[in-house]
Amino acid sequence: MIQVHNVKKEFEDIEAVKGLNLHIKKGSIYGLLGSNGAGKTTLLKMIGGIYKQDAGEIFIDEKPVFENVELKGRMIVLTDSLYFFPQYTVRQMANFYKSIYPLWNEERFQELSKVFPISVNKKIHRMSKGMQRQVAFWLSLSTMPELLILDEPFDGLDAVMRQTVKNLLVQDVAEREMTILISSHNLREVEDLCDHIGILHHGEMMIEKELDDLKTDVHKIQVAFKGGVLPDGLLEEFDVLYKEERGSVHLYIVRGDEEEMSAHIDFFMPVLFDVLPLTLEEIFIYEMRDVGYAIENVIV
Amino acid sequence: MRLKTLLFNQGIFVQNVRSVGWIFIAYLLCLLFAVPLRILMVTSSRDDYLRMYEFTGETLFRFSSGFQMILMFTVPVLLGIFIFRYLQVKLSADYIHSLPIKREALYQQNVIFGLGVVVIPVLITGLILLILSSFVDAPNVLNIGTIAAWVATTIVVNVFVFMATVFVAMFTGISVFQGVLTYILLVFPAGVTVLFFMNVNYFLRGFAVDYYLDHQVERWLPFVRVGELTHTPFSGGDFLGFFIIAIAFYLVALFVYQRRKVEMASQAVAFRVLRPVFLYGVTFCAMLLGGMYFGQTQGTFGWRLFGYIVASLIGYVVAQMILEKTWRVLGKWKGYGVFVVAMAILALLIKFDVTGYENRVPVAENVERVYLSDSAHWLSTRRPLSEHEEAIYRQQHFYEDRENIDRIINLHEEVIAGERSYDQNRRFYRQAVFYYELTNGRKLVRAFQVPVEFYTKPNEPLAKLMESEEYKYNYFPVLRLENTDEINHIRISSNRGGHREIIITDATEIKEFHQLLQKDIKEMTHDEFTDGKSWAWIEYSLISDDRRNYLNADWKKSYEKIEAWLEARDLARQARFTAEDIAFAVVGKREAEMIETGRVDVGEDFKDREGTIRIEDVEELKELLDKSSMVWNDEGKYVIAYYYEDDLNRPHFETISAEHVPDSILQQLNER
Repeated sequence: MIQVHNVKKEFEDIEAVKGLNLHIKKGSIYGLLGSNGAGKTTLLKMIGGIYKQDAGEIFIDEKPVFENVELKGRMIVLTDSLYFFPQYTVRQMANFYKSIYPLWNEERFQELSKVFPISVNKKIHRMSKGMQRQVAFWLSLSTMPELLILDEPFDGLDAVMRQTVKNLLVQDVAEREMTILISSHNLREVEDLCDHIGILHHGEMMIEKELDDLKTDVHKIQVAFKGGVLPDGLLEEFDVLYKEERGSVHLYIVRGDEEEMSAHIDFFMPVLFDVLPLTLEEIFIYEMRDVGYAIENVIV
Repeated sequence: MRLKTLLFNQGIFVQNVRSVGWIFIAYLLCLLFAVPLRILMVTSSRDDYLRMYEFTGETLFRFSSGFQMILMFTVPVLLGIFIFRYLQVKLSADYIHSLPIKREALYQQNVIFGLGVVVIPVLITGLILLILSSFVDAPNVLNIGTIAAWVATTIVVNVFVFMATVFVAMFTGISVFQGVLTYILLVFPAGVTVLFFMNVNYFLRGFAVDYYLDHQVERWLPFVRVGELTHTPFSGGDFLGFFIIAIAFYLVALFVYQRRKVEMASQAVAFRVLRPVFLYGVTFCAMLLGGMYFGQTQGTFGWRLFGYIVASLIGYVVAQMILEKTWRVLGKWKGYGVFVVAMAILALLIKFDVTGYENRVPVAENVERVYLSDSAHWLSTRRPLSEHEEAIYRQQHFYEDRENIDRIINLHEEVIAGERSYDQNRRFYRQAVFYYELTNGRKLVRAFQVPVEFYTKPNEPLAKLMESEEYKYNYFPVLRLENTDEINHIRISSNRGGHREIIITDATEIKEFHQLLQKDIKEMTHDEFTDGKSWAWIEYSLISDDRRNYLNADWKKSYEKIEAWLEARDLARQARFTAEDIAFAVVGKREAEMIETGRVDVGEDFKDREGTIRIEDVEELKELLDKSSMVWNDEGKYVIAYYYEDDLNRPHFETISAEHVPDSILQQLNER
């Protein structure tokens, strides 16, 4: 559905996005991860047709997105800071969306009013940040978008509402093959939602994979050997992202095929050998450490 | 369907109504107060309202004229800022441009909405005025013509100012800046022209700045033109001018908007390529302004240089601060270095006069006509001259005679070769303006500052020029009068105060006098021309179709023929003061302050002044009367005060040059 080829974007003298490629299939939920200032928001705004790329091409359904009214009518960009016209109530804002988006679904809007406990006649700018976020989802989902671009979408939502919204999103993906592009720095939030992951660093795409592949590709293992001595040649052929010693127990984050690795370690006859589940956050941190973006040991 | 979606979206319309609808209402109310209500107020409270200023012109712009003008230059600007506010705020800019609407459609719809806000209230007010015209009795002011003119003019100016604001909106990302830049844009063409010409004038000797700036530039100021609406309605050209510029603004703004980056909201200059243009533009204009300020107030090169440096530095720093949005711009001095080098080169190019501008003098054969005068005033084309002005004043300064053209070119060459440093703001200087109309249709104009003596102690070419028949013919209207039947009577009256006057009414006498006066004038030498010695004014009263017309001339002391003619008829002593009319005269050295101010302040105390002598002898008085002059130039080293028999309290002061003071008097003066 989305193809991004070699896209570049500069602000002032800073190159925010450098020759970036990205592919998103229809009906997938794509999580865009990245360090602060990696260029996530810029990329999303370019895909949303708000910013124009300095170089490269962005296609949605094989058509360039910039100034493409037809495409933009089928997608919604929810930026990290929300904007509503001043003094508008939910209903007035809904009327505005109705006049702008061709696929606006009034029934859906009414249905969703049961989900979001907000009066349609309340002025949006008087609401709390979380409620405004709810209104944004309410309005967006009522336009029946085929592509939803979400930048830090769960900021300010409480746990219950977060789950509700996620359910709504998943439901739309399942029923209508809606595509979602979602960026977040809160990895746990998107871990259970995304099926594809892209990690962005300094304006470049580091990794782009299915989440399942990513998880099967990187492993956290704990091993201990007799006498605490590591045998020579241990994990030599493997890509060790990280290692740590906790007494006699050694902790490794390793990239590679799980079965091959188990066989390899079993060969050295460890006293302890566990493969632990790896969170997205850990993947992120270890992958980023790989490219020199490490957690600094800050002494306060 | 396509047109509909292109031009109209209900949601955007509603949003515009909500955000700027108040301007529509406020503007309508203001207009209603300014014109129809004002008419009602005046007509209902005063019986003689038709004689009031507002009702005497054939225009509706006289009602609350200042207020109407303020409205025309504020409402559209305010509106343009509010309508395009969404562009200048990051959040709304991102949001609006994420919507499925093309920029062009957004632009069209916003502009059309804005035009509605500045046009519809005017139309409504026009309609109300039309209704009002049927029961207010002011046919001059309230008729279809004036109402239509008022509506059309107000609309055109509003649209022009609104489109200017929209135009500026596309180039900047800050609303306040948009407002400021809009007003700068409105004065920019005139301002920059004045600055440029004034500064070129400091560098290029002979540059005729007055000719280029004379009344031409203020026409480019919309404020000035609109301010004149109370007495001068818009011409077709005015309408067309404002309209075409508004269309240009519209098209360029659209073109620019489509290329504008959304992320430039909140940047002072929305296009990176324009940042240096802005930076150096501000620096350059500031430099010219500084140079002009010190050039006009101080005049010396040192002060001007100071002005250039300080002002350009300030301009550069301020522009950098605006661009960078910070006070801390001291690190960015390299650009200023580049600017200084470029300006130094430019100054050298002008100074060394690479195009040969300063020394250029036309070849006599190529000259059709020359204008030479001490001012460019009569070259101005701003105001059409009346026939009278054309004949009496303008014609005086033009020469077509080949010899005279040669003389003027000589004179021009002499001025070029003369003293260069006739800098601005020396207290005494005069101008020499040379204006050549060439055979190839081009013009060559130069203006020089020349010493005061240029016209009074002239060199040969100028003297010859002034003695030439052509000059005299143009200068003295009396020479151009052929048919003495046109003369009603001739009045000769003393120009030394008091009442001495004769009137010649007899046709034969008029003819004789006229012919003699013409001869006297033709024989006059240049020295006599400028000596300021005259007895009386001569005034021809002409019989003319429309109203009585006058020709004037001096009865100069050198005019022997008319003097003899008047003496023969015993008319001379009735027309001028003679020694017999004078009780005594007082002569004294002219003090420095008298030269400075050009007049005598001591008044009636002059006769008691130390170092003066009193003359009562009739013969001596006669001699003094013959020699004294009314011109206060440097030659007049002595002051003479004539005390009349009939009015001893108000002496008449003249000057007399040292060589003309009779020896006996001079001796007495020196003894004191």
